[in-house]
Amino acid sequence: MRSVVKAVSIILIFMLIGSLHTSAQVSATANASVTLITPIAITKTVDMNFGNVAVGASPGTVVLAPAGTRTATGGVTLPVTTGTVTAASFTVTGAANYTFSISLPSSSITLKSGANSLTVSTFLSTPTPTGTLTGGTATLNVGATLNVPANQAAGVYTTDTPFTVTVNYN
Amino acid sequence: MKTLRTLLVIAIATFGFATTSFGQLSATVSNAQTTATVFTPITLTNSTTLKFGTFVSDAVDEKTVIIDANDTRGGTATAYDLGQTPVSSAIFKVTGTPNATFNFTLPATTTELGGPSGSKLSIASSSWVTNLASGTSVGTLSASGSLDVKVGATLTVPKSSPAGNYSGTYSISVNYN
Repeated sequence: MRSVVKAVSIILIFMLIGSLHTSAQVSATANASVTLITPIAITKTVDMNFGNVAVGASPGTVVLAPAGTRTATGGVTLPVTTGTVTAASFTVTGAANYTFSISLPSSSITLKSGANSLTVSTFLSTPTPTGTLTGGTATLNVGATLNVPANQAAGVYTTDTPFTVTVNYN
Repeated sequence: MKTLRTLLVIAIATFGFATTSFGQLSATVSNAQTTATVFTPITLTNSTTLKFGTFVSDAVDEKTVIIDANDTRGGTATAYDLGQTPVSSAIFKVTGTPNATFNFTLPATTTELGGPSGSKLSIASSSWVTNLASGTSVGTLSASGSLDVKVGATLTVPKSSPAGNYSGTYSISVNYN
């Protein structure tokens, strides 16, 4: 009787330990997540063009706003025949509703006509200083100031190398 | 009458014998209860999701995103969070017997995060890390019987992976050691 009880007890203990061991391991399933976004890109759609500019005996400037309107200062005048006047325009694409920073040329660039040259400085953009990719796209317009010395030689002045506008996600 | 007395003695003796046996059984059950206390069921719950954040997929190279066990991010991919998607290590809460030690088992196979158009990013099984003592997978429950284990991993982003949200599941196991 005593040994039977002992044997049953031992079996019980083993069963108890055995079952607790099997149920001792537990697992949890968890989520991991990441978001990938479209790389930002910028494409030029329109070149900057100051149009026709008449020089005078004193220096002056032509301020071309990002909206494409011109204002003359100093000895410079704007002929009735305007020629082609356009602010530069860029299309920026990327992740919808992300904002981006805009980097414009920080120093002046040079336009040349043969041996003669002019400088363009003070670049401005719309939007500024950041833009938003509404629906994944944004239009970026860039204007600048053309600096015209007195009695500048006539000619068609263009850049040797294009100026650079850089955008990046904020 | 003498027969009755004999029977009575036998009855008492049997009863006494039975009582003694019961007493032993009680002692054994008491031992079993002590054993059972050691094995208070261990539990595991995921309280914080593993979040890598937001990245631009590279058109040229495969990139990596590393989240260590302290919510710190590294790797070669360029992050653009804009405060929209907080980065976090995973947190797993383990509960059980106070001061008990346990084995913490990380995924043994590659974990895949599915995204748009059936594209996949992967977490190699060898890349999982925890804030348990360096080089071990053993944790010790606190005096109140719980421990938060933080888990990080390295995500591999193949070049030109399409933009979108990627997610996947993985399993962690614990048991007393």
